[in-house]
Amino acid sequence: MSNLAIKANYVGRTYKVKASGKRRDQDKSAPKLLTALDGVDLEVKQGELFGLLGPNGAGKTTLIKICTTLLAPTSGQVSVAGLDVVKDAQAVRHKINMVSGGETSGYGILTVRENLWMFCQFYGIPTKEAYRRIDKLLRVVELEDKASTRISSLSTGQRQRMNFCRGFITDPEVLFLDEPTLGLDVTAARIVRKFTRDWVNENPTRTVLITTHYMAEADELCDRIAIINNGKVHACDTPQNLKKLLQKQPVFKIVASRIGLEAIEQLKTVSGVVRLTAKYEPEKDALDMSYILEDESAIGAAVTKLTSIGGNILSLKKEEPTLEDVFIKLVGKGLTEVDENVQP
Amino acid sequence: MTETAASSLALTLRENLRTFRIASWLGWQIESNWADPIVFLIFSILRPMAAALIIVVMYQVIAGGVRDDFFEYLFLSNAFFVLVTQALAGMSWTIFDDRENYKMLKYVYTSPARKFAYLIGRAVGKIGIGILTTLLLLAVGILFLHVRMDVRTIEWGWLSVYFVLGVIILVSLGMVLAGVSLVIARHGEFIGEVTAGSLLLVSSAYFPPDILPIGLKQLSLAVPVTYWLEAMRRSLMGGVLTTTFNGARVPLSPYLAIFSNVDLLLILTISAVVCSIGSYYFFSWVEQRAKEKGMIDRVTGY
Amino acid sequence: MYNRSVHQRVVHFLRAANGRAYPRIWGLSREPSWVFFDVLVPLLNTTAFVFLYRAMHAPESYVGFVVLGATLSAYWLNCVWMMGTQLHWDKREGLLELYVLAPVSMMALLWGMAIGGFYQATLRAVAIVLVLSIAFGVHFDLMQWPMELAIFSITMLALYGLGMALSSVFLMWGREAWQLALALHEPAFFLTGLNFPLSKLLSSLPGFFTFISAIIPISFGLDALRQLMFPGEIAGVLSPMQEVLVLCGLAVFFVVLAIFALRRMEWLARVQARLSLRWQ
Repeated sequence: MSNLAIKANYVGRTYKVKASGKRRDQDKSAPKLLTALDGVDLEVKQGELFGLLGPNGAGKTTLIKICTTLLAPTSGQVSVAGLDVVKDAQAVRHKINMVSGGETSGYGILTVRENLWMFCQFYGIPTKEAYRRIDKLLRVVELEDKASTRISSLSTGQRQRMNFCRGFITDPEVLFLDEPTLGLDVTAARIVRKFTRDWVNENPTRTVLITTHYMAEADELCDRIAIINNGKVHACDTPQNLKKLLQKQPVFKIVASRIGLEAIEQLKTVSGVVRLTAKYEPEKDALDMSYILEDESAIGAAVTKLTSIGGNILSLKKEEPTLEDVFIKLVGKGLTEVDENVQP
Repeated sequence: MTETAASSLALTLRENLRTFRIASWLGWQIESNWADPIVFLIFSILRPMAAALIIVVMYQVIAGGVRDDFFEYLFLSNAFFVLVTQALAGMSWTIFDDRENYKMLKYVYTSPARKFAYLIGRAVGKIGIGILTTLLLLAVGILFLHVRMDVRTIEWGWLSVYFVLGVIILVSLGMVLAGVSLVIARHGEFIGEVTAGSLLLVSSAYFPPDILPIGLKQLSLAVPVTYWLEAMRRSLMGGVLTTTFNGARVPLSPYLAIFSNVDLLLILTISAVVCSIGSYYFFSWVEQRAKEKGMIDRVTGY
Repeated sequence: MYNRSVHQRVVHFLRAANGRAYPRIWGLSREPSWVFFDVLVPLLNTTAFVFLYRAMHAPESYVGFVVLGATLSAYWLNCVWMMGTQLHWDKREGLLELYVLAPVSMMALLWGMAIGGFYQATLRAVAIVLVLSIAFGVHFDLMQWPMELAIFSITMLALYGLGMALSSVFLMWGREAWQLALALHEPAFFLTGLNFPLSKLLSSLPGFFTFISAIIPISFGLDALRQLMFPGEIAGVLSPMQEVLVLCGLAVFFVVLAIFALRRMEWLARVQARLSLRWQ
């Protein structure tokens, strides 16, 4: 039996595009079909917390909709929990759930508890068990005092917390989180991230696929990340390995008290130092040094040498490319750029 | 008027016109974008035509082919009542549509757009369709149902004045319903149409108010739509509608026949003034209540 | 394939239906303005028709016909607008995706909506029939109440089956279907004889209209009930028993149609990405 929670095999999805607000007789060469996904290959192992990063319009939500049986792919095949999302859609639905950020999922006239109970009924969860899960999850997201409040009276963040509960309450095998921390304050977002991580760790059969625009969130949470743009996956690896695409060797920044040129030349000869650049900063009256090393372990020898020649270390930090640097390098643009004249 | 006041008034008028123009365009886009214009027009007209047909068939079934002025009474009232329904429904529906479906009402409220002009503009599409439907119904009535309406005897002067006053009254009533819509849940989205339906009882639309019990009869005299429908019927038929009773021709509605054309003009003018001013203050008051209750951007569906 | 026993499937179906019916039933008590719209105003509307018949000097039995027609119209309106269009509104709210995502048959959700809607419509219908019967002195002959109850039940089954089938259309199309339903509102009232005896209408129209009328469950349901509740006052289109047989056929047809249409429409909606197209 395959241990893949999600397997996308050369998945494609195209949409027919309506003309934009411009006059229809303009720009006749405009494309009639929008390709949202173009041959996406992806494997997510069971027990993984997998991240999907991409700018707006990259195809993240389209891929999630296909995985969650809301959309049929135009080509290719997707299986979730070992089941084909097209042929075995109903069976797949028993094993999944989805939380989308920024949406109100429920009826304004019902309370938080009632809305969550209603969704539990759709999943066949007995009422007693449903209430037990509801109470537990509301405590996790610190919403228990709003359990009897109509959701039309909740703030955006509170609704999103309720939405979050709705996703976990059915204890799915595969959970899709589409920007789940959107609209949440810092504390709530932290709680949500921690809960998600703990939830996956608790049971090795649980898998989460998360899309987010917050790089730090992806870096912190995800076991592996796929970077998608224009319907194609550009890279898929652990956050550390993705960063190594930009910079294979570790870089350390040391700020030290001023030393002479000869001393700096001596530092360059330390074993394991590939390259050393130093710049004097008059405002700080200190030396900014950048070490490129063969291996992280060489920093010990470098520090020892520096202190032995009379250098006083003021600060030391490891510099590595951020996920955002990797993203921009691979995608070639920032997160907020979107294609014009696109309406799925 | 000082220069400042004059320029302020001019600015207000410009803003109102601009808001009205944009809202009318928007209302038309929303009403018509689901189909080709021709299909849209056909469907827009089909429904009131069918409503008229119901009344005609009912009359034919009961009267067994015997015709008197009551058929004209019924048909003409029904034709103009289409406008009543569209005007009342147009503005109240705008509130629900913008608040619950498009979630745009809060943005309209936070913009400098003039609210009254916006609501009236949004309803223009529906009112326009109502007017068109009424005209088509009248044409169908004359050509195919032998409604005894002679174009030569139509009192065009009275007709024009009564029509304009009627539109003012209906738009004002629509504004009242729009205000009510602000503070109720979405199951009231047909408040316009159901209110129009309840007006059937007391506005002499389907029958003379003479046959109503005394309480309802008096209520019908308090409803401006009663006078408006009577005014439209009279101006189209060239006089009061009559029926035969004991061999003599008597007014179909003695209750309404006591009002002369000038009386109707006076009543409708006063009604138009009272309804416009009243609806403005009512809407403002309800709007404030809606803001206090947080209803401007609340979604209430279930 | 996910294997569950029949018992588990039935329990799940019922739970889902119960869940969906809940907001419909309890929503009423939390927003009391529905009393005005769903009860008081239709009372006034129907009263207008009663007076219209009196103005036309129609036989007094026509008052009873109108009252009974108004009672059943509550269910007809509920079927079209609260069943058919509900999925359209749910789509706009983003809830439709969550319904499709859930491992529950759409039929279960529609049954829940139907139960909730039936409750709403019954409140309206009871108010209309009680108030108007007393106000206008209408007497219903209930001697054959088992037959009358059976006709009513089968009519409701066929009607809500039609509502479910209509909802599949709204699942696929949005505003086009909504506008179509709006446009056919009055023609449907016309052809179902809600306000006057159906036989008198159909006798003056080509036979094709009888067929169209028969397809709408309210038509024959109302006609059969009128024949039983006002014996001797009305000639029906067919005998009550014949009309019951037609209704049984319609009930089976619409429910089966709904099952297949929902599956087909859901599939098409997934292929054409219409499940989350909010403002089409």
